[in-house]
Amino acid sequence: MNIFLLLSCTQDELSQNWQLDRTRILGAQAEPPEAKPGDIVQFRSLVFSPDSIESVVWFACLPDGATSFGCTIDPSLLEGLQEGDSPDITALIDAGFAGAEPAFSPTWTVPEDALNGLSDAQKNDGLSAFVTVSAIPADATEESDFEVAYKRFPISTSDTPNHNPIIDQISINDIPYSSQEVFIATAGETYTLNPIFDEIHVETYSFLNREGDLEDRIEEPYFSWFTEGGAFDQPISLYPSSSVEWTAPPNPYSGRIITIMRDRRGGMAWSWIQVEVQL
Amino acid sequence: MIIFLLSLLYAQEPTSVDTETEQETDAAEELDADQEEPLPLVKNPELLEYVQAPYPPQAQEEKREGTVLLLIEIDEAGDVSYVEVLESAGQDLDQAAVEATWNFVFSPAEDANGPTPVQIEFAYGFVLDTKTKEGAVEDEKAKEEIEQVPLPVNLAGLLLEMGTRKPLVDFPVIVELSDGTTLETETNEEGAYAFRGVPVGQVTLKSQYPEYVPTQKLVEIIENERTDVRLWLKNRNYREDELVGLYRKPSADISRRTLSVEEIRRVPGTFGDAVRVIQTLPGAARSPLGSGLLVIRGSNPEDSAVYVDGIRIPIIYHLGGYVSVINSDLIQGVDYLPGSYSVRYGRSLGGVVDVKTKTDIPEQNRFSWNTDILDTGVSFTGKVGDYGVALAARRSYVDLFIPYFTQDTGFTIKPRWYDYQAKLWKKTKDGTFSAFIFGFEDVLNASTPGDVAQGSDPDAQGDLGSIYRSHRAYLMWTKNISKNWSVLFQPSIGLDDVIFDAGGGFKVDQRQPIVEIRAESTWKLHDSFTLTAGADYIIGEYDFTVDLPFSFDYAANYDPLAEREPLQLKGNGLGTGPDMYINAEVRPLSDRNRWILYPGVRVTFADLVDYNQDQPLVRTYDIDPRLNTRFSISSNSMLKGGIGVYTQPPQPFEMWRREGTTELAFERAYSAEIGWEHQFSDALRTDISFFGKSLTNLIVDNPEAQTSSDLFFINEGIGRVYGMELIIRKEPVDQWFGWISYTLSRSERNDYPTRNIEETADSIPGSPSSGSWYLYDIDQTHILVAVAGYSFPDDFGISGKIQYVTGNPYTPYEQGIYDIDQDFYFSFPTGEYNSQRLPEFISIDIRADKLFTFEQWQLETYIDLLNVIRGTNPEFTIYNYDYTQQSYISGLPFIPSFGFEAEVFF
Repeated sequence: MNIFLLLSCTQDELSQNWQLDRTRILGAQAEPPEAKPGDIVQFRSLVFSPDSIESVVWFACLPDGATSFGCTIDPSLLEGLQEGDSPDITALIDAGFAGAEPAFSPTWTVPEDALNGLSDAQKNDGLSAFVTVSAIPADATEESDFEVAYKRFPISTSDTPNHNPIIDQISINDIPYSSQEVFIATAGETYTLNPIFDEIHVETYSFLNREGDLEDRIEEPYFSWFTEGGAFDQPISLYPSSSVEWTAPPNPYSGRIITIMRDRRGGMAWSWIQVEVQL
Repeated sequence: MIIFLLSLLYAQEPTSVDTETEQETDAAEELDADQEEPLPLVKNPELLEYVQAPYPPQAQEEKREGTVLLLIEIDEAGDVSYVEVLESAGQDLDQAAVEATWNFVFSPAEDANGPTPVQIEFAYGFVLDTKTKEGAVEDEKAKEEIEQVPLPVNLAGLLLEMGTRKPLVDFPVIVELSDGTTLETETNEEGAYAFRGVPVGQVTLKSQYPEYVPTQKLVEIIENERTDVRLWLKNRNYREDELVGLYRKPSADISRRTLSVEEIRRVPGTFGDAVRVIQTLPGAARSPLGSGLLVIRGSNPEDSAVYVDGIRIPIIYHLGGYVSVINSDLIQGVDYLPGSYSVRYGRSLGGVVDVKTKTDIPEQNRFSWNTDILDTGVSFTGKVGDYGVALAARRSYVDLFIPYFTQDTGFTIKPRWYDYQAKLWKKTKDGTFSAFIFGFEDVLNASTPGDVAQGSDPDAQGDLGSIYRSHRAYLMWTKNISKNWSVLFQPSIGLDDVIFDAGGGFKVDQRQPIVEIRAESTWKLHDSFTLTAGADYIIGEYDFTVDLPFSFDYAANYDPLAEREPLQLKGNGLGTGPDMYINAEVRPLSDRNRWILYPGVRVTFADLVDYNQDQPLVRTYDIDPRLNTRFSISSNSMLKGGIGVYTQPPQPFEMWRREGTTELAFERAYSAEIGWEHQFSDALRTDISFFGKSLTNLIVDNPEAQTSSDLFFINEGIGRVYGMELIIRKEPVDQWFGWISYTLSRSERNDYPTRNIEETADSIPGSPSSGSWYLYDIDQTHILVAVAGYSFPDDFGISGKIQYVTGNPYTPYEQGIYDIDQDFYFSFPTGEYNSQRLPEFISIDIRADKLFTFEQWQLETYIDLLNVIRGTNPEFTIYNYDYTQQSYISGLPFIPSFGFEAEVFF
């Protein structure tokens, strides 16, 4: 640690993770978040874009069809989809095509042999399958315009499989607001935001530890915060200190504040509130 | 009877005597001796044992006094080898003085080549004491003389240098009487003066001397009373004494660069720290944010060794790298050896920095108080009996004021350090003894408010804390057993503690008691051959606990959704390194100083045993043969060169393994260097070197490690470093000092030269594991530093430093892919590892200092202005969250720093 690092500084202000100013994939949810072989998994995404999104394309695969960064996909398949050509259905399915929102609701059937070759203990722990999500803006002209993300989802035979959490509402200064309501904020004012959810979603689950003993563990969820206007004091909050401070922008603004909840086991939920900033 | 030593008049080299000696042996050598200019002395002889001559009875009876002026020759051992009477005071006084003088013992004079014979003039005085004179009153003859006995002393006192309270010897003191006539005398060796029979009334007491401000004082002389007056003379420029640079002594370390402390403490940007100045010398790379990392000739910082008086210490700087762990008041000099050093130093591939603490017995006691923006320290140096004593302590207070800047954020960072030193030493006629104990502690605490997340990782939450403490104590004896045989014995003990707590699941706790013993014997077997054999033994017990939030298996098969299990590693064992070395100094030509060869070999051992295992983790050795040489092509020009092998045992953490041996070999460097030194004048010299280094067996991560039972490190890396170093130095012989230092170099690594890229487990383009050559992280093609200082009258000085350095390499990245589970963008490099460079670093620092002198003490104040041109100087590349934007962490902004040092002499 360098004392004078305190005195040094960056040359330019860099955009923050919580700033929504371009097309971004914010969340991707698998339902169920922890599947068994043969289960059908449904996917949905949360994508922010200042412009329109043509589609969100999903591919799913087992680890042997993936790299560390998701499923291995031939880029020409995506380009074909973007250009409106007749897609090669067989090639798409072979590549793990799971769907393309909004037209084709993405689903994927976990292969029955997904856990073959694993011991019972390993099957209980499971392995992580992948989905690769590509958000294709309407004005995209090349592959680099795509926003690409990847996510894992466990496949196991666990007796205590994971469930996606649910965020009921977000409170502002201790007053709950639903996503349909509009919160009127004063420019420049600072507010305390807190996600409201049922504690039952902080699950207790069993885990076979290194010594071979079953160990009960409790999830440690955290929340990521996003907005188009204003600023957060921190981009992430940890349960149970889940609140963050949000300072409204100095000028009138209308938009959303979004929070994404992750349970660190693949489960995910999101919620938002509408805000209107007035002078 | 009083024998009065008048003065040591001057010292000069006995060229005539040498010539005579040469005539007896070799006429050809005589010619050389006549032609060779004597080197300037860097140290005058000092009288260690004075022998009082018996007062010749006849002279005593005759009440005869006098001064015999002698010419004394002192040999290289400090013994008197020749005495001649230059001015006689009578045969009996002459004979007594000569006989006594033959038994004097001096410390030898030294020139650039070390101890050297010299001639001095010495005034041996014979003065009858009062009792003898009083007893003479009964004598008839004395009765006549008693009428001529001088009048009693009625004006006396001391003449001292203002500020330092140093007695001014042989300085004139003048009494100006009311009628304009004057009386004059000189001070003795204690600075005392005395006048007899000064007329009653007001007189003016004066003293003046070149380089001193004249002083005068009105004094009232009262009848039958003695008046004592202390006079102070202010030196016009105290720094002149300080600006005596140490001339480089030829030694087996051919690239040794030695600077005097008082010279280097005035370099801007060093916070008055003597060690930090080495970063302005050739071969030393600029460290990021001025942090003081020792990157010498393209080596890793941990590959360079740091010593204090030959005892290795783990680090040289406190937190942040702005202050060295040894108080500058105790430092006599800093040896900076960027390469081609002798076999006396080992276990390092990079450079060597050896901090030398004071060895001269102080003439005065000195207490100092030093304060700057980082810390405050006090020190005492002085003499107790025959021993020199130095005590120092320092404590930082950055932690006290940082909270005032961070209180609104709730974040706190509290760095603090302290260090202490205590040294006792003695010089005898045939050796030295010293005992030194020193140590330091660095503590860093960083905390965040409890409700603020530090990233999404639950194991990364919490407060950060680190403690690094180290203590050392050594005893050192040097003894000249005979004229041609000297020995050194230096046992030391130490204790190193490291505690690091990342606040979550990561914690390291390590304790390591260390014993180091250095024993060395040097025999001068012939004028042309000197042999040194030594042992450098180090033994240390290690005891560590490492807590990790996850296992190695988890890290090797990373899946953020997988369950993590904490892992604790414990190790307890013993490491030993009983190194031995032998080094020769060969002077093959009849002109012994013309060509000197330094062949040597060092055998380095590494043995690491874990108490919980049956077999040693590592038990190996390596051999370092080295050959350095110097060849004088003229009296002021010298060629030098060196080749050698430098090996470095693996770091303890690299050698340790839970089960089984690690089979790691030593890292090796094959080094070659050639250079030229030239002295244009007494004030101007230059030194240019070309060097190359091939690195093999470098320890790198094992890309195939998957589990905790696998080897984590392997000896597969290679490297190459080559370049040129140049320094042009203006010696501080007048008001100016300074140097221009330039380094042109390239440092590269290849971590996996023998592997196919496809086979490398984590072979990612742009990573060091790609199997191709890449630039070392702190490779700097051009490093140009210019330092200059000027001392104005009235103890005012200004110095400046200009730095131009090529930017460090970095790896470019482009927009990443989003990992939804971790809310994190994984980026991809767009080029090879370290394939681009930051913009160049340009900085100007200025320092102004002023010494205020009072009668009893001095106050030195300074202001350091860092980065006065306010250059942005990018230090690191940073990206935004998704790698779509790039920016830089800039270097230090404009920083005004100030400090003072108060000194009291007594």
